[in-house]
Amino acid sequence: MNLQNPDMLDRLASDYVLGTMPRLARRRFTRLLATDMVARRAVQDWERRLAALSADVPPQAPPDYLWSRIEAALDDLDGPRIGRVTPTSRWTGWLAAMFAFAALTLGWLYWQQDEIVEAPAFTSILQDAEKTPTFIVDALRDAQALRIRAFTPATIAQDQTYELWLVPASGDAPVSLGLLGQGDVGQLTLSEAALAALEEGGVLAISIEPSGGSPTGAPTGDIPYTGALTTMI
Amino acid sequence: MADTADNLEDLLVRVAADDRQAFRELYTRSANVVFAVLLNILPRRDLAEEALQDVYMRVWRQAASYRAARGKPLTWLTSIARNRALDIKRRLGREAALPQSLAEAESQPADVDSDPALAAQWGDDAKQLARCMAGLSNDQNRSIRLAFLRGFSHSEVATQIGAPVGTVKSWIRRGLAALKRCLGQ
Repeated sequence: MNLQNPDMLDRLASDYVLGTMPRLARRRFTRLLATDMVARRAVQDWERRLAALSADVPPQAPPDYLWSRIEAALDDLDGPRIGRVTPTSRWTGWLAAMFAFAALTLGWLYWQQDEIVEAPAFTSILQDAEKTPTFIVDALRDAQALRIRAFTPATIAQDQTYELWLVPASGDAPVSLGLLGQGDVGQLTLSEAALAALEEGGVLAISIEPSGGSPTGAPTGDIPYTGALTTMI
Repeated sequence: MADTADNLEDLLVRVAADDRQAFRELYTRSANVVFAVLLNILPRRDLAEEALQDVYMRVWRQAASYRAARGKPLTWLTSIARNRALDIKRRLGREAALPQSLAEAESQPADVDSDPALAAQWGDDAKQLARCMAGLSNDQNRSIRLAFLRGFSHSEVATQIGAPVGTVKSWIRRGLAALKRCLGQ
């Protein structure tokens, strides 16, 4: 199947959105969507074309208890953030579900980003200790900058900041890539040294530091999030 | 009426900033549409209810990724819902689809002006699409609706309509091509 062929891709995207794509093909195509922006665009176009078919469906009120369940689930989501202790029993039930939709979440997040015209050169999905993806970091080829997207990072104190590190595959000391504020910094410009280090690969890590960043040049606080660096193509 | 559409967008922006109150309002305004979409694909109520919960949990976490330029809030919400429902339906197969009346899914396009709140949420999208759907043959129209609204596979559509699978595939293929031309995008 030649996905470089726009007509073929458009057909697959329409099959996917209409829902007629067979199960295994659908699974494969979902994986493709996680990395291929042209395919995501094609899917978005078909969703935009067809979505209003649902305008014909008479609305159906869901039972009231569903909102209560959602609220309870949200409370549980708030629980396991850093610095809070929650009873494990309440939380474990949600882990499997969270993990399942984390995978889909990634697909969606990538699906939604349309600013980039180019595939990322590197990408890393940083997870917390529970393996919940929390940040996506990627670098565009030639852009000399990292883009950071947060799902729902833990809340940290006003006088603290997240700091992003590269732990080089070579085993050298971690290299600071920059400060992420409260998780709300979307982009970091990279120094030549940082770029060179990224080329070598390794693991990205986010530590919690006093505002202004690590005073020592090495991570000093907790390191709640880590993720391997993947080179794209 | 335009206010309703604007507000769903505003609400999503606030939800992205972890505003629980806004999330509650977004749910109140949209859950009946989302639930209807889910129930059409998953006639088993327990599955549809579980899916609704999944969908809104996902909305809560991903509201920041919504882009107005990529479509209306309802397009975004119902796309998440359809994907979730299709994944469940394909995984469970027949279990997911106990017999239910097909009447709703095949009903003629509703007059979107008849429910101002709903019409506003879909905006011109619904009118334009209804106009283009009306330009298709009955078979093309019906096949596309059964697939999109009920989550039917090619062979399920074929069984429902009583036509060979190959014929259904070509109705859908040509119908979608005609829609794309008609919508001009």
